[in-house]
Amino acid sequence: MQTLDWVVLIGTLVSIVAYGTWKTRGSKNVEDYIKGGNEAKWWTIGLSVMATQASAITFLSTPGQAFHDGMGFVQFYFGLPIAMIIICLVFIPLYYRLKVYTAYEFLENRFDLKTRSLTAILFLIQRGLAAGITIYAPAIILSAVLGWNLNLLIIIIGILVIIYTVSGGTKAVSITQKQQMAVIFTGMFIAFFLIVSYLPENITFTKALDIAGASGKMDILDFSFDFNNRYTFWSGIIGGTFLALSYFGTDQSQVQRYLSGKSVKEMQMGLIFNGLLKVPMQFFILLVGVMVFVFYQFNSSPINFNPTATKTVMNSSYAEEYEQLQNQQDEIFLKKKELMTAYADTKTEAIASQIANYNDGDRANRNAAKDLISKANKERVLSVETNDKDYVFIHFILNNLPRGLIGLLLAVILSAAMSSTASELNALSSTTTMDLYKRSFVQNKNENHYLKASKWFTLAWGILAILIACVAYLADNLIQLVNIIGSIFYGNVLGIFLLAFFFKYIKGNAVFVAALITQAIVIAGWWYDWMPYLWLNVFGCALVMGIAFIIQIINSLQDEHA
Amino acid sequence: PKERWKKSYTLVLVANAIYIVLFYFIMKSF
Repeated sequence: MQTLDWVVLIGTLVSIVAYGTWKTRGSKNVEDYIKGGNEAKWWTIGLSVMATQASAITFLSTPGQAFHDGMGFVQFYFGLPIAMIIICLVFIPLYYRLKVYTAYEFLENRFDLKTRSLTAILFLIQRGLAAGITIYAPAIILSAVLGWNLNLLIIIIGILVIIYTVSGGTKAVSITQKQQMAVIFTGMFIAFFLIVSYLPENITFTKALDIAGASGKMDILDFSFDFNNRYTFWSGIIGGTFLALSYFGTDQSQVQRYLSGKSVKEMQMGLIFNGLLKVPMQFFILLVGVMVFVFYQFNSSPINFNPTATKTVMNSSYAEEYEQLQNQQDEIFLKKKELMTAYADTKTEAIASQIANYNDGDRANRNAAKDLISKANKERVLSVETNDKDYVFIHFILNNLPRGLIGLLLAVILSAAMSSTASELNALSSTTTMDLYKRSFVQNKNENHYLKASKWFTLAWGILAILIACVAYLADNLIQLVNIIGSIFYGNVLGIFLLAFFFKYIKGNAVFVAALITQAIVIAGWWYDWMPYLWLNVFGCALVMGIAFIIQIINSLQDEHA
Repeated sequence: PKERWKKSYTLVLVANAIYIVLFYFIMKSF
């Protein structure tokens, strides 16, 4: 980090925050603050939806995922366009007709108050935790590679987001997201072209793809029905539709983005925009990771990209073994480099199979390094992350990009963290104000009272997110824990919404009782480890719908006999 | 009119189908 990097980084972040705060000062009422005065055009909604979903981890972790496992992760997004169409056709017209502020408000109209309150509370629990992790995840990585103070970084990110989100509400969130997306794409495009330009002179872009293909990184599609492969065409189409439907259709941090639209048409076009661009965007981010992989076929790389992990093992009794592994890795690298150059010119099968052999050695070495890190963790009673995919891209950035561009790429990562956190705080506040505070606790006050309450709730959730991020290092693998908590609640909530939209036969009492029973069973299913946690989503959704039907049938029969 | 909406939903599905076909050819080429 040089002076120029600091100027670019601080200049970018502060000017976005200042512009967003100044431009959206003076919300007149709650509708202005929560729905942005219903003025948003389709492209604002589209960018806002994409900026909310793309967090810092998208840009840190996805290239690392491609570096290690290739392009297959793009399949995870194949269901998203299908979900967009379902939401456009079914969810948006109903949300719009009822003029709701939150998705859960719709459930009171369709079922009853207790179902609305239950889903709102489930949302607040999981999204409140997730907002803390949205800040924590990039902060822990950046503090490890740059030596910054972790808690100070968390507090700075949190305060920057709080400033404009509290003052301007939804409008401030969407205005800043447009600029953040501009920074993100500028930075990523520059990084991509620089990586390609850093390759040896005789390695063109297509030759780089040949080299990536020889190492199996270009296996984009997997049509097998293998449950053990997390990312296949089928899991993307089925599981991806399901997850996107619950995220974009029932999670207030996304629903609030399109509810700010001027009309049904603008809202629908915003989601269509997302459905058109999401897959190419993820493909591009993964391609950046593949190019980083090719770069490291011609430039030496550490055996594990996480500097904290390397430090841990070098300060343990396994240091010598680890150094031997790194030396072996350097030998493999030199041999592979020759082979890669030869393969780029000839593309012969014989060389490809030699490359595959060396890749196996490379993988075995990296896994052996991970084992040593785990052993060093045990010896020193630490819990350092052994999986280094979050560190690959940032390692490349810090060690290879020129002055000024390091600052720009750090601004990309922090902008992505801020754009997601802002949407989350904004939605947490709206749900607290409209679904709980105004609905059940303090009714019949004037507009100004609820506007102030919304601002205070935004501030409170922001402070809570900072606190969660600051204590997050205490939990082992907290990011996975948040995903598990999401899986425990998400399926149930989606099931409730599907019953609301598609099954008029089911009434409020049946849904509420079914939701409580389902939640208890899903938590038991997680506790006793009945299935991989991602499947709890599907299980919870199917269960709540099945139980609600049974209860409704029993209720109907009792009514007939009465 | 409804017709225009059908067009934009068809556009999303067709565009994504084209992406997948492109991915298939990229995968086969490299």
